[in-house]
Amino acid sequence: MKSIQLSQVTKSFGVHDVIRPLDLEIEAGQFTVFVGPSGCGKSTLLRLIAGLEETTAGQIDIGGRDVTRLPPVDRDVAMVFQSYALYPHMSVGENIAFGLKIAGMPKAERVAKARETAATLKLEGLFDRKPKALSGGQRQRVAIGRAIVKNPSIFLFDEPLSNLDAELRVQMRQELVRLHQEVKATMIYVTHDQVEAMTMAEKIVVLRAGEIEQVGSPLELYENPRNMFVAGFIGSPKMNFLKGQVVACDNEAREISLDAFEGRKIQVSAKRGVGPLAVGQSVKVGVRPQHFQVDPDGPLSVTTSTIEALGNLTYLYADMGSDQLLCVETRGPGFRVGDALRLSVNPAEALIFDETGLRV
Amino acid sequence: MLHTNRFGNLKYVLPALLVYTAFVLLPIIASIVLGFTEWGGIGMPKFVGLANYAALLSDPMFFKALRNTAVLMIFYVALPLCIGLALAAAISHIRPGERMALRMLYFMPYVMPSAVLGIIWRWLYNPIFGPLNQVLRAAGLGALALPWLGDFNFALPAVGMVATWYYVGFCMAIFMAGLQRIDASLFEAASLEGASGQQTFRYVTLPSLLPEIRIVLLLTIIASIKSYDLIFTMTRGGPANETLVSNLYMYQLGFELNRYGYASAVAVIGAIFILVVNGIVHRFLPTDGDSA
Amino acid sequence: MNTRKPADQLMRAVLWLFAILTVAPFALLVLTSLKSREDLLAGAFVLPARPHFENYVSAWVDGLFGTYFLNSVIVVVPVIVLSVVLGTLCGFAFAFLKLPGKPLLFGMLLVGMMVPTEAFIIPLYYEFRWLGLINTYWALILPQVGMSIPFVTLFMTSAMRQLPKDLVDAAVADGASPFRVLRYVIVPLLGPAASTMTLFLFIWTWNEFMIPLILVQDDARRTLPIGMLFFQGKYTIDIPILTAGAVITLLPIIIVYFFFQRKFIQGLTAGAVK
Ligand SMILES: Nc1ncnc2c1ncn2[C@@H]1O[C@H](COP(=O)(O)OP(=O)(O)OP(=O)(O)O)[C@@H](O)[C@H]1O
Ligand SMILES: [Mg+2]
Repeated sequence: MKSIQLSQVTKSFGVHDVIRPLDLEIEAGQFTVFVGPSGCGKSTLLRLIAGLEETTAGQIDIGGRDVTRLPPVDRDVAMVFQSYALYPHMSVGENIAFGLKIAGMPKAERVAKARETAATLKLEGLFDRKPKALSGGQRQRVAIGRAIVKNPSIFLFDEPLSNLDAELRVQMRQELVRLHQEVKATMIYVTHDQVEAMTMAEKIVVLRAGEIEQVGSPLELYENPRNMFVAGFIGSPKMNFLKGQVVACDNEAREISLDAFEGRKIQVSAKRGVGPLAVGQSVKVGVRPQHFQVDPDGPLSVTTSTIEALGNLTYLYADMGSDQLLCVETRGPGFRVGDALRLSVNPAEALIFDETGLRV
Repeated sequence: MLHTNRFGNLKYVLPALLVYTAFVLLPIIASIVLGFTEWGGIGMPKFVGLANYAALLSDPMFFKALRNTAVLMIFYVALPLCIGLALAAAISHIRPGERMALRMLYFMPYVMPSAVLGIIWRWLYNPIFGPLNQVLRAAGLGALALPWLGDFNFALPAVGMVATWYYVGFCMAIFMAGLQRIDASLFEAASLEGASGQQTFRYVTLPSLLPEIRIVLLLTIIASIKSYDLIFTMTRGGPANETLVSNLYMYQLGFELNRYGYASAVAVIGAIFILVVNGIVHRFLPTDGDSA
Repeated sequence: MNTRKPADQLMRAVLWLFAILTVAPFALLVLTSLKSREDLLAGAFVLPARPHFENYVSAWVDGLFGTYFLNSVIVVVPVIVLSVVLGTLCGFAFAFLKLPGKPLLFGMLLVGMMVPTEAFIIPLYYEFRWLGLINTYWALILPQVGMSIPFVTLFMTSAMRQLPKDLVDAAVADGASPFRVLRYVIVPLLGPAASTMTLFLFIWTWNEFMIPLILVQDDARRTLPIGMLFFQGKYTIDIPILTAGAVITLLPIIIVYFFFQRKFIQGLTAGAVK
């Protein structure tokens, strides 16, 4: 269990800056998730921490010790790869014990340790099999076993579940959370799946184009996104963004006229405002699907174009022109495609963003 | 893999590079240097500048060798290319098992030592008891039973035919692999549009095979410039230099006449030709669909 | 494909005819090697009264083909081992490690791939005279290894680059030094590439002509192709024994070819297209 601190860490491949100067602190024992769209540098950041890539600039401390120039083996970390990276020519047992063998542990001892690890992962029966003869979930467990056996202070996972089917993914998610509670190590988990991030993380780091957009607990990010990117990235279905102008604002409430609704006005509570706002300013109003109400007296009129009925919930989609779909969460049946509906917005939940995307 | 000393990593390449440098790279450099000297094999080479190259320009033997190579290209390049292409196209209609058996037979000469093949063909071509002339006589074509390798007009084509025999299977195998690479739906589309077999070949097959044609051209042209083993063992350049090629000339100049400087100049010219061909083929023929 | 079945059948017959003509010289070779000199006079295509296996004994013993054969083996084996080992080490560094002046080193190797042996055989001859190694196995082995190294290196580099990169990273994360990554993770996965390379090196070395022709003049050190060339000069036309020698020379290649023909043809043609 060790803390990690990144100070002004930078990575470029040639002229291509993949990680911009970046500061981040991860507390000991925390389960941290890096999320962000594909290509934003999540894996690169993880590999920098692991020591598989060299930093271009900046410093990495693990457990208070500068490890910037140390090889992976001296950083007390273990990594689980997306492809599992099991050695195809070694059996499950040999795969798990390989790190110990390299470390010079005598054969009897390391086999015993590998067996013990395999047992905790319910892999006893497969100890002598080659990876080729395993299912996806079993391979995943071997990959995790290979990390556990080294008893590292820090676990690094790079999208470890993305090759599994949905059901297995949910199961493995819970197993990993349980593992975290048992071994009490610091864990960093990379994913581009925000559901995974929300369900597993104690702390989420949202990355975009090599920069940190926001750091916080899942709920913090959900409730208080710093900008449109985070607001749109966290939460499913996505938050709706409606373009408009500020008509009036005071300390209590803000009134916005919405372009897509012929200038109809909605009220937004100022309680969740974080910055100054001026009358006439162009803004975007962010409303999560569940913060609309179907309301015969509502100011916004839409026509449903698609319906997704999930049983407990129903998502209504309305075509807003220019490729934008408005998503509304409701309950119960009784909606049909082509229905004209009126909606109102829960004023306490809507968020306002300025033209640069920053929350105001 | 990081954190390893980049100079320390040299230990992985040094043994290989040392052997390579000592027995390939240095001799290549020495050859270039030697080309600017006059040297009989003993004492110090005498620097003569470009004199060797100037002398080559007016050396009838050298031009004879170049002319022979040009003629040989018909047999090294043109015939294997055309026959190989035709065979590959024809063979694609045959079911796979049989196709592989045929390919194995056609390809066989290519894995054999060409020096030994030269010796074998010398015997096959033997004017008196060689099997070839026996066949011709038995077929009533006694007039055609020539002293092949000793004939001023036929020695070069006779040598060339052996090269064709050697390279046809190789070219065919490359084209067969190329045909497999081509999307089958392309042929189906062509046949739907009512293209005849010939039209399909002209407008679909041939353009799709451009990468393979390029590589066959490259390899066979280089082989024709390098040609040495076969000719050395079949004719040694005779009769009367009718089958002399530049590498053979280099051998004679160096190891028979001890004119090592001049011989090196011939060798260098040959290597330059090869580099130039490499450059031309890579630059001017369209790559079209990466086959590599 | 089409309905023109008879035409297809005709084409098939023609293809087989040409195929048989292509390998006819080899069949004729074997046939002749089993004849006595008297049998020869009856015509090239006439079967001998009985097979004269003693031709092979004569070729092996009196024709020194036994010696040549042994020499070929003594040269081929170390060439393969040295080339594969050195080329693999070198290819590993090119594929995964940082090296000073990597592009330059790579360019250096490419030179050797393009320049034919003939272009540097004269300095090579004098180099070996200077080393006092003319007429030794070293003269046959070392230049052959030197010429093979660029091919093996490039081939191994590209084979290693095709391995999943995560495997190497995983081993590094497991604490393996570069050499151990090579030893425990990469080498065990390179079996197919190494066997292809072994086949090629076998053929190239077994068939090599220029190097043994120039660097060795002692009959006791000659390899099969050169031995055959000089046998032909030594005895005026003892065709049955000459052909028996040729069969001895070609047989190992034919056997290897029959067993690995698929790998061979694919390797040689794919290698060419690259
Ligand atoms: N070795 C490399 N050389 C050059 N560019 C690289 C290298 N590795 C990564 N990149 C680039 O760095 C950027 C970030 O890559 P990275 O793999 O970290 O993304 P990611 O966030 O993990 O994406 P994904 O979700 O698709 O895995 C990408 O644009 C990628 O092309
Ligand atoms: Mg990634």
